[in-house]
Amino acid sequence: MTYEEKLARFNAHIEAGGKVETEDWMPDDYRTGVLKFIEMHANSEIMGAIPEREQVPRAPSLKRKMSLTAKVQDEVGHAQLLYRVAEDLGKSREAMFSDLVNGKSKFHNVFHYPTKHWGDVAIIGWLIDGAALVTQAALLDSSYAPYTRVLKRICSEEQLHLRHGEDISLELASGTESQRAMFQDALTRWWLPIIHFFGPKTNVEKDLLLRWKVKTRTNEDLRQEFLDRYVPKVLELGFTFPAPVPFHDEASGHWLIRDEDIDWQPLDAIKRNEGPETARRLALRKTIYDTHRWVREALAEPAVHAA
Amino acid sequence: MTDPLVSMLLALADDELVLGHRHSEWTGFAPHIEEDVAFSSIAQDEIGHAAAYYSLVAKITGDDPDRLALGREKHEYRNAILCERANGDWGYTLARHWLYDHADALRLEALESSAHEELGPLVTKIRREERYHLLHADTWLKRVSQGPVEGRKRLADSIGIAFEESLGLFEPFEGEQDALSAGWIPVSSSELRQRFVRQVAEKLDALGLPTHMTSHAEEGAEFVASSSGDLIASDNGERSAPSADDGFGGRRGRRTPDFDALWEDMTSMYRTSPGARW
Repeated sequence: MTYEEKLARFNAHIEAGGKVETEDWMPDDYRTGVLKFIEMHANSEIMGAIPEREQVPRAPSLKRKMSLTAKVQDEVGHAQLLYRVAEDLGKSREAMFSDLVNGKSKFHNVFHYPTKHWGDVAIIGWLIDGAALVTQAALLDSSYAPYTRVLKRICSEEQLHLRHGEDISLELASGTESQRAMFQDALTRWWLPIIHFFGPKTNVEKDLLLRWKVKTRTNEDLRQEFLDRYVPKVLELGFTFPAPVPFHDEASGHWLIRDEDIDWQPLDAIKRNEGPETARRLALRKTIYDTHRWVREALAEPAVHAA
Repeated sequence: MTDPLVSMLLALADDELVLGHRHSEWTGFAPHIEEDVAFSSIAQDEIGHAAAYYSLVAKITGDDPDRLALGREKHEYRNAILCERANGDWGYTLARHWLYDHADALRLEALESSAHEELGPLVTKIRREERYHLLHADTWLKRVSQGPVEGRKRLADSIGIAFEESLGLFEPFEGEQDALSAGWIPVSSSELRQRFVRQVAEKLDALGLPTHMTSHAEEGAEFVASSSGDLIASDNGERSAPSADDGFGGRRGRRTPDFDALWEDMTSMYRTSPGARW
């Protein structure tokens, strides 16, 4: 069978809702695209651990100190699972990690921003995890089967994180003036990055991953689901949104934002790995990575000394 | 004077809290991804144990466990100095983890038969979790000590530094004599310390790590870290006064700059709204 014939068969298989396993034949563009997508997801989990772990030392109660540690631990665990899935597509974990710390690969925009206080933990745990869950749940039916199996576990843990984040948010919302101010301050700083998180409007014609059903829904579709689900909840707690301010569209029943209200510039900078915290966080990780080569060697080497 | 039982429980709780805090600083940043996950578990366990001890204190004094953990002044903490030391590199973290968990295991073994009716059962539960910490630490020590030279050297150097301060874990707490008489703790700190030195020396020797400890272990002699990182027994059979040592004084509220920074960080959010619900 020629490459073209294989490709035609592959396309027909996908078109009919078929799934792809690691050992199946797949076009190079599919392999590369899926690998890059999962690698970015894995990178995002491990880099996503950093903003929250910054607040672990300051957790305001013993219970929160343990639960936030557990949550960040889950994120790192997700990265571990995802790197394994990515590895099977032909890039070693060592290579992926090296690319990450050297700024050669990407991770989600929201993890390029600083955290300031416990309000950030609330926003990350509730709205950012909420946004992530909307996008991840949409991938459960992805054409790349090994990814969906791992996502199933990730999504069920993320559900717990979401409850944890909502719980923290509700405590702040019903707390002291200073606690409410913390939540509002964090919301104000994070709102635009959260909108960016979904990305610009999908170019359906050009998006190969969408065509091959690795992704199943457009960016704007996912963003709409998020807005409809979370905007009313936040307003109900008495907080206000900065630009792009969501408004209720009576005709459609949706919570909308105007495209012209979105400033895309910060996202463009992050795409060049030039976000507010990008360099500092990557440098921290790189320092630990570089100075602890001996740990990886100790784990990799067979024992050389008899006890 | 502080109730000797409270004094003992606070020493235990503060050790676990402060070390758990240090361990959790690796969360998201450990040099190996599997280890990141493992260390986060250990951190949660230690903080959980601290919470359980603080709850016992709170029952006696009517205080609040979170206030005890996050609302006290620096000089009110009673952890051993070893626990508050900054993480440094993974080698130091590992050496401290290994030494601490061996010391803790001996302490818990003794406390399981405490005359205090709630402490014994609590310690039984805690020991079940601590068993895994010990297994984790032993596995790593074996792995690194039998691995390539760089790791082995870093580990040996770190043990040299941490060992000396680990003896501060056995500094008697305030009112220990009374706690012994009451049976709250069945074995004295100095006896536990001798058991610890003996056990650690035997284990290091078995791992082939550079130490001269075994030959002097029976006498429970002092050991100092040499510049090479080897543990060398001082020939002086008499112990010098613990207060002269950097690793001591923690049980009396002496704190190092490492603790000051930790405390500022750890209590900062709690202090914004003391008594608030989070």
